[in-house]
Amino acid sequence: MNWRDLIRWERMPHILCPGCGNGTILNVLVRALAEKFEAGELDPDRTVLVSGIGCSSRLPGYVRLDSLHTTHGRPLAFATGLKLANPDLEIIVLTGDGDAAAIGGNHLIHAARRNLDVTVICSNNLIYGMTGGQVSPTTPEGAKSTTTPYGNPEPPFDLCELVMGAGAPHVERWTTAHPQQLKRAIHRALERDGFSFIDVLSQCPTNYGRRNDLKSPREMLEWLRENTSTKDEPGKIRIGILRDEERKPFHERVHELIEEVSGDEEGG
Amino acid sequence: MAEDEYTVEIDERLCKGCFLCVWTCPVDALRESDRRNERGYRLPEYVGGCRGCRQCELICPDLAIEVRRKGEGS
Repeated sequence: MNWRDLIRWERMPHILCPGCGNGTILNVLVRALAEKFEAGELDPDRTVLVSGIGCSSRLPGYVRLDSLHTTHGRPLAFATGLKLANPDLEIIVLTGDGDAAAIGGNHLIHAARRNLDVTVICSNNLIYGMTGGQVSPTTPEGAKSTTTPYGNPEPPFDLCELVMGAGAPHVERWTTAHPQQLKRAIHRALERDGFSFIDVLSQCPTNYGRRNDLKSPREMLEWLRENTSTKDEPGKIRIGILRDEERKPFHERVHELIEEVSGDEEGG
Repeated sequence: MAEDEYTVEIDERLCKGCFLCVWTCPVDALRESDRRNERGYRLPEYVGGCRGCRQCELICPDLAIEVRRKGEGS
């Protein structure tokens, strides 16, 4: 399958700002999915995109697959229901830092704890872009936003550490300046059973860059490239495969339990 | 100089002029032009020398770039 067949061209060009990192994520995602469909590893009729609210959550609307555009912070709650009711669905959750870590923070840690079998792609642009640039849980300390005009006094969440602490078995971090690596990460995440989390550091030139001396998309990507490293370097954000383990997914344990309990009842 | 094996096609209807393609190209095969599309965004242009790494294609936030090997269909 050609990736072009996966785009709803009648809705293009999309609403995202010039140079928005979510566009690169959409680009990489449809190419990765097209390769998986072409190889017969996934079935387009059994692949679902689930999103919450925010710029990142607009992406499923441009992809010709079944999708759920849910309430703010709750894509993982909807995904839990989907996966338990239809365990053979491949579920991809598209979310952002505000959606996943602020209002949806609880859903995120509990989905990781239960090891829900979904692939979460979190477009982490360090700000609430859609609503005008308010501080988010991942805004770096000292960064300016409309609600922290003198600099953010709070330390940010490291989303990968957060979900690893909660038990997520497959966790990676990349940036939109690493699209090739991001594509391979999406491939791996789709292959893994269980909770796969990809934290994608992304640029919001309009609402983050403009207030933090990184006006153009290019400057933001240079910042992402210079301030990240695949090795543990002081002062740099660690990117790469942070954890890759196996653990029995939630839906398998639930369905085994259902079988076990209903078997007992029939036998007894 | 031998003719390029690849060509870079830019869908002017989709491009929003962010120039990440120009930034990412390792061989400077793309540059900023002064031409604008119907919505007023300045467009990049292909100046030749593409070696087919497809980094511009993959980073484009507007899915507006297609790198083609010459003589091949879509």
